[in-house]
Amino acid sequence: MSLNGVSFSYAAAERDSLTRLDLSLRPGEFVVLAGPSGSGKTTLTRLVNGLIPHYYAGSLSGQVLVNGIDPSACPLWRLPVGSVFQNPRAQFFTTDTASEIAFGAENLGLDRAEILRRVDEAVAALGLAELRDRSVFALSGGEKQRVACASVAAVKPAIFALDEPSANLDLKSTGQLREIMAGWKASGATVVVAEHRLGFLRDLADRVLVFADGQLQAEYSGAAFRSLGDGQLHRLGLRSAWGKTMAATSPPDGVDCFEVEGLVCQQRRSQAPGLSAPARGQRIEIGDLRIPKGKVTALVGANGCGKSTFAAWLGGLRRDREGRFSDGQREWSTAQRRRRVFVVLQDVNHQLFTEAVAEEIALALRLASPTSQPLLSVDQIMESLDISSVADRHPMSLSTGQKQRLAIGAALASGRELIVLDEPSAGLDLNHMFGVANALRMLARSGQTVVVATHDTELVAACADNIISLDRPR
Amino acid sequence: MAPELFRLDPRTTLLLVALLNVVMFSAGFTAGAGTARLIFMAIPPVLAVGLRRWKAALVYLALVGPAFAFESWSLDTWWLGGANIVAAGLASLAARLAPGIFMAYIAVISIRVSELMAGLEAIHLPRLAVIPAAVILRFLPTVREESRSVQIAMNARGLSLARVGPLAWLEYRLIPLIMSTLRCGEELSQAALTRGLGRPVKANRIARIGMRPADVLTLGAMAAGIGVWIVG
Repeated sequence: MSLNGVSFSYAAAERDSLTRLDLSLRPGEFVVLAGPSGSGKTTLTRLVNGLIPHYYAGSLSGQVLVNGIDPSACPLWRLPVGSVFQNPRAQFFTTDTASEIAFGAENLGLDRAEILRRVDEAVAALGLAELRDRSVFALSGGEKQRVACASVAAVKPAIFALDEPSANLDLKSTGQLREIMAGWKASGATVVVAEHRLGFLRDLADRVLVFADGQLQAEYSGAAFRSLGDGQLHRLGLRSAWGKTMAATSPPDGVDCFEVEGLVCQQRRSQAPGLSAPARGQRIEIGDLRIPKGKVTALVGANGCGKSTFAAWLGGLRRDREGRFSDGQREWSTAQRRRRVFVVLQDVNHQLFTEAVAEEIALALRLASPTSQPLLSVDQIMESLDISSVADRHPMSLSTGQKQRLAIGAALASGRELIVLDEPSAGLDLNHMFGVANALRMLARSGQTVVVATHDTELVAACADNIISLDRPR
Repeated sequence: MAPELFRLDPRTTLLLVALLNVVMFSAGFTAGAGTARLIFMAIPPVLAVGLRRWKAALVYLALVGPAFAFESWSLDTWWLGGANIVAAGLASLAARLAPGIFMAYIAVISIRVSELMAGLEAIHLPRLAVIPAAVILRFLPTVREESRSVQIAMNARGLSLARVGPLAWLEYRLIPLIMSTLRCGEELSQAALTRGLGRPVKANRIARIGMRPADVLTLGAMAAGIGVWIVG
């Protein structure tokens, strides 16, 4: 596939998303597109899979050839490209996994036996046997992303285009995704993947293209990329490609702490339409924890260890009978936690309610209880979180990083004593991640206690005073 | 998985939704019409039990049973006067409306998107009809899921009805819901387009459709209902 002098700007945009790009990919090459948000890497994946110009309108110039075909001159379905997207929730057309994996192959018009053979093959290759006949609503994010991969693989495309496929995944699922992509590479397919998280792609990449402001800023061979250190990556605006280890720390005695005692949560899988989900509940033993006041505490651990469940429990959003919470003197009931703990949930899109950024902060100030701490003004809050420039914009029109900071602004405005955040840096590039880290430090400086559930080691390194691991030797 | 014994072909279910509503709203007050209504009224709770929705079936029976009984009884009891007419009218309305709503609910929870597409394509409906139907069915649970998430987020923020008033509450509830549902829709259509939806070939679907014992029984019951209605 090749691009010659390609520029593209989206219909409503003021500037080009990609400017005069020349690029050619060899068959079987594994290419990673890196760069900050808005640098043009997602736009490039859309040029590869034909969503530009078939779905996104705009002005396109230059020549694109995918397997010798000009995508704008033929219908979308003729392109031999399989796509995996960022949001695992929204890529399913059907509601049960077997049909979903078959969907692309069905649309090819293959006969039934061949479709079933391909489904079996994809299920075997991706290790999805236990997910084969399930409701998609009962799957975890990582499981959904694997099913989406299987569905694409069953079509057997020559090119795979992936747009931030790991953005919503934990470390274990990311590892499984890596295995799937390694399989595609081994089978000789061309893989193009836009990502912020580079660690899991490090050893697969034949070539890494770094974008900035719609232009190709740097290009590395796989080997050259692997020799870059964190400092060089940061200068390019990229996240670290090297995992950091995180050791749990325990707050020294005598420090004023929030205390959790004997917590056990019971997790249920949701019921699903048309299919009944396995109704097995899972016991998550959290036990005793101490959270130092006025500090940022990171809550880490592999997925399924109960980070999100614990975050919801802290916020009084679930009632588990076992477990007590106190501020060192008094116990807080579930209802009290609901009033005194502020939770920023994982999907920030559900938690922004108004029509403008300033209004969102003002709403949080209005809802703050009069007994809470001395409050900052709307302008001060926006200033400190670097969102003043978008004060009049609709929250839903912001970038993910800005939305996160706005939600943190609402937490700041609430004046509540304890702020709990669930994966606030999911899908963020380096600068936005640092923005969130600074915002969390701000909360702690203003006297609020912060608990951040995350698997992002860079975020932890950038802001945490204290680390609690929920992983237990089992 | 719902017990295979109760699984219906999606087309049987849709036919049932349509005929049930026709019978409920067109059947008069003859004995035959009453029997027909009784037969159709009894089918949805049986299906609900098959889907293990015991509670829903019980609530339905507790509402529709007495309403239908009161309607039939009051027809022979004119001497109660004006109030009786109003009460009978309300009971009749409930007894005729509720089965249709309940059956629609059964259809939504029992039909899988893949089976609906396979079924509708098999009777040669044009793509323009099949895809929107599939998308609607696909979206109902998504809207419910998103709606729950928004409710949890509102609880977390303390945005209760009592605190902010009904108008603002509705706004806070709907804006994120509409926004996230719209976004889901966009992403869904992109995913579907890149996976060959729109290719002008006849797709073979792997979903199992076709007549099974449950379909025969249900169609038989429907035929019997229509039969007594016409004869009586």
